[in-house]
Formats: sequence, C-alpha cells, structure tokens
Amino acid sequence: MSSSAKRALRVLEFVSDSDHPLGVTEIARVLSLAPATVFRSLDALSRADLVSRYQASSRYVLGAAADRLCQSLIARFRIRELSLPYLRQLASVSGESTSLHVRLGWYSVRIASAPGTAEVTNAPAIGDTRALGDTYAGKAILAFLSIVEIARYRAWAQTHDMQAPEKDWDLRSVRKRGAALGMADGGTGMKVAFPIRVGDAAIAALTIDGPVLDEAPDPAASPFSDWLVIVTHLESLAHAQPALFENPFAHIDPDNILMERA
Amino acid sequence: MTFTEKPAAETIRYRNQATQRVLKVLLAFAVNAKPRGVTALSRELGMNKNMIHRALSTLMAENYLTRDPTGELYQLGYRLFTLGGGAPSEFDIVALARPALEQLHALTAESVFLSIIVGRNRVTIDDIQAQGPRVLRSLRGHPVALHCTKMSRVLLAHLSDAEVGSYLTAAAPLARSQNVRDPPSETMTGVWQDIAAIRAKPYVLWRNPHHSSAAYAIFPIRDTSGRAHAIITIGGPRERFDLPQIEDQLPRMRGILDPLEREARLFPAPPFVAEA
Repeated sequence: MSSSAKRALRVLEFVSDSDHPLGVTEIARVLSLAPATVFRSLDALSRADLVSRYQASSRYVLGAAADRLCQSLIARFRIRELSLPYLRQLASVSGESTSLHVRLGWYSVRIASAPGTAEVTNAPAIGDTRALGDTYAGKAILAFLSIVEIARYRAWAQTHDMQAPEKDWDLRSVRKRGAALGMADGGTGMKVAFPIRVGDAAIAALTIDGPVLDEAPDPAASPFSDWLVIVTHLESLAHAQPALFENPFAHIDPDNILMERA
Repeated sequence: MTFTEKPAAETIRYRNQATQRVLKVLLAFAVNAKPRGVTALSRELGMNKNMIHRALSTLMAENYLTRDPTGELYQLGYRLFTLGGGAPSEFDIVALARPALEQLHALTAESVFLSIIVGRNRVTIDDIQAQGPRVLRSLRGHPVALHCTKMSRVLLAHLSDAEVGSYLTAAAPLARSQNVRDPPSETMTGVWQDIAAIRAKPYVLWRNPHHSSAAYAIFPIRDTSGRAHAIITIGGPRERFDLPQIEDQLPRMRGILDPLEREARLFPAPPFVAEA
C-alpha cells in the first residue's frame, strides 16, 4: 500500500472535517506529521483539485473534485432521483424540508432533501451519516428490520460505543405508529421519519425535518395520514420495481462498515 | 509558527508520483461512477495494470473504493460520504422557479402554480394564490391523475409515446378525478388527441368550457430532449383573465420564463417511473 497516498487521504479527511480553512502547520501538528509531508500531500491533493487554497491564502479547504466524488457516489443510489418528486410533494404539504436517508450498514445517510416552503425551514446536510439508533430517521429503518438484525445492531452498537434504542418498546412504538418521531431543533415540536419498506425490511426513510407535530399523532388522522399516503406511494413503486431501489453497498456485511476515522 | 521548509518543486513532483496515481484512479470514478475493472481503468487512464492494481489496493484499504455487488469490479466506496461534499448540483425546480412565479403573479395579479409529476399524478408543489372573491385555486400537494385536466395532460404530453401508453394502460378504465366534466380525459382516444394538440405548440392557452370558469396559460419547463421538469400555470376567472387578456400579456410572460427555460435545459428532466 502507498503510505504517501494514505497520508494524503488522511490530510484530505482532516481538511474535510474542519470548520475552518487549514494551514500546513495546523494539519501537521494535529495529525503528527512532518510539515514537509503535509506540504507534499497538499500539493498532490491540490493538483487533483481535491483541496484548494482558501481565497488565495496559504490555508486549504475542500476542492471541487471532492464534491464531485461525493455527488457521484450519491448518484449511485437510484432511489434518490426516484424519491425527489415525493420529497417535494411532502415538503409542499408539510411546509418543512424533507429528506431521504438510506441504510448504509448500521448507519443511515442522508442523500437527498427538498427545501420546505415555510418561512423558516431546516437546511439538512447531504451526506450526514449517523448510527441507526442515533436519530429518528435511523430508528424508522431499524424498527423495520428483523429481530435478528436488530439484535446484531445492538451488539455492534455496544462494541462501538454507539447509540442503541434504550428499550424494546421504543422500536415497538415506531412499528405500531408506522413512523419514528424526533424532537425538532429548538424543542418546539416533533419531526417525523417514515420507513420505506421493500419486502419485510426497511431500506430507507423519508423524513420531515421540521416541527410538524405537537404530540404523538393518531396515524389515521390528517395531516399524518396524508403524509403516510405519499410515503405509501413511494413504497408501492419500490415493491413494483425493487431493482431500481437496490443499494450499491447492500452486499457488504454491515459489521464491516465503519464510518469513523481510521 | 510559519512553515518555511518548502521542498523544491521537482522533488515534490517526484515524491508525489505514487500519490498522484492513486488520486488519478479515484478521480476517474468522479467522471464516470460506473463500476469497472483493472483492465478498463488501465486503458482509460493510460497506466499499466500493476500501477492500477496498487492504486486500487490503497483506495480499497481506505474504503474510498469497494468491490461492486458482483465482486468483479470496483465502485466508489462509502468512505466518500465522510468527505461531506455539498449537495448534488441538481435542478431544484422549486427554488429556481420561485422568482418566475413571483414575477408572473406581479404581472397578472392572478394565481400561479408550479406542478410536477409525482408517480402517476400531477402535484402542485408551489403556488402564489391571487387575492379576492373569485380566484383560481389548486390545492398544493393534492394529486390529480395525469390524464385528468388540461394541466395534467400538458405534463403527460411531454412524456414519450411509450410512457404515455404505459400510463394509460395502467390507468384504464379512465376515470375522472374531479367533479368538473373533462371530455378529453374520458377515453384513450380523447387523451391521445389532446396530447397531439398540446405537443403542437410550445405552450397551452386554455379556457374551460364550463360556465363561470377559468382561463389558463400553461407553460412546460423542458430539458433539451423536450421532457418536462414541470409546468407553470397562470390562471384566473374568465371575466378578467380570458384568452384575449392572456394573449396581450403573453410576450411578457414568456420573457419572464426565458431564463428559467434556459436553466432547465442544462439538466435532464426526472425519469417517469410510476407505481403499479
């Protein structure tokens, strides 16, 4: 394995993670690398357009090629383009931003969103990856996995110090309602996640990312039932044409997918 | 502290060759994300198979690439999600059409709607409602079958013949989704005839035949292949917004829509995949 390439990829991830432009010295200090090594890595990454100089300074930010790679990866999920009209419909009726999260091993990752029409809405981050038990989107998927898979998730979560649903009834209530609830930012209400099921298992979740409910809803009452109808239509499409909803990473053992930094 | 020990450019270039080869292989998948094998990559990048193999090993070890489901080829890896790239540069029809909706409403003072295909229906996903005792209404988010109403059929007409045929077969027997009469929607022949008439013009001006009803201007927003991303409809009661008034304002309406139509041509319209 090329260790210089490996170092360059570490530098790339560090630049990606940072909330501010980074200079050679800071990268070298945090990654415990020699400044000359970091400089060479940045040189190679710059040539590949994976990083670029921030406003002609000596500090670096992610480059356009990094965005293109992430976009190409996301485009591999055909469910994304098929879901966008439904996300837009859900955003137009709820007023809030909506998102599509797909299962990635024991994680969920947001790969699409449609902006809400309300005056203030969330701007969800594409590529946001969380352990299934961590968020309402993940719980909507987790609740509709088999008992064996849920047990495997719990074991994995324990091993990797991840969030597992606190009690079994937590997932039972999600199954009963057909959706998981989460507290909206600011604690002003609840947001909702609906599973997308193919066969017996959930492969993804559609979420309404803003406060749309004050309390646990009656699944038969509007507007919850209206949202459910939209999600059901997308599920019907998945049932009719499952090949279009295939996940490019479904063949990898979930235990082997780790999103933490090496 | 300032970093000053800059190695000579030539030295950097020499030392970085291996890294640059690895990055070159990775970037090949940004241009074309289709899974491929060593031979195809070697040919594509002009690198020998040994170099490609070493680069793939590095990228696989870091999960920047993974094997595809067949196990034979290489595909982009899930580690790339951690790069936290921006949202795909997709055509966000709602955001892009909003200024046009506002300008059309300002021009006409009538209701303006943005509608798309969702499954087998037309759904209005953004609108500006006119104010007053008699205005045109279209319920946001409410689905209307693609063969019912002129607005729906404008979206239907911009699908391929095969897609229209498959839609009509699945929708048969054709049923009205609204209380108002809509003769073209009631038979397959009627739908096809209306589709032919719609396709003959770049936009549709339409007056509902019912007493006290509305007139509309319906504009498809198309990609380069002629498929519709969406339609924008301006409509109002015939006593103040009939076809002569619409025709008077038509040049200015089209002027407002020009920039949006140009932008729309840069992106492919979404695929038509309807549930059974």
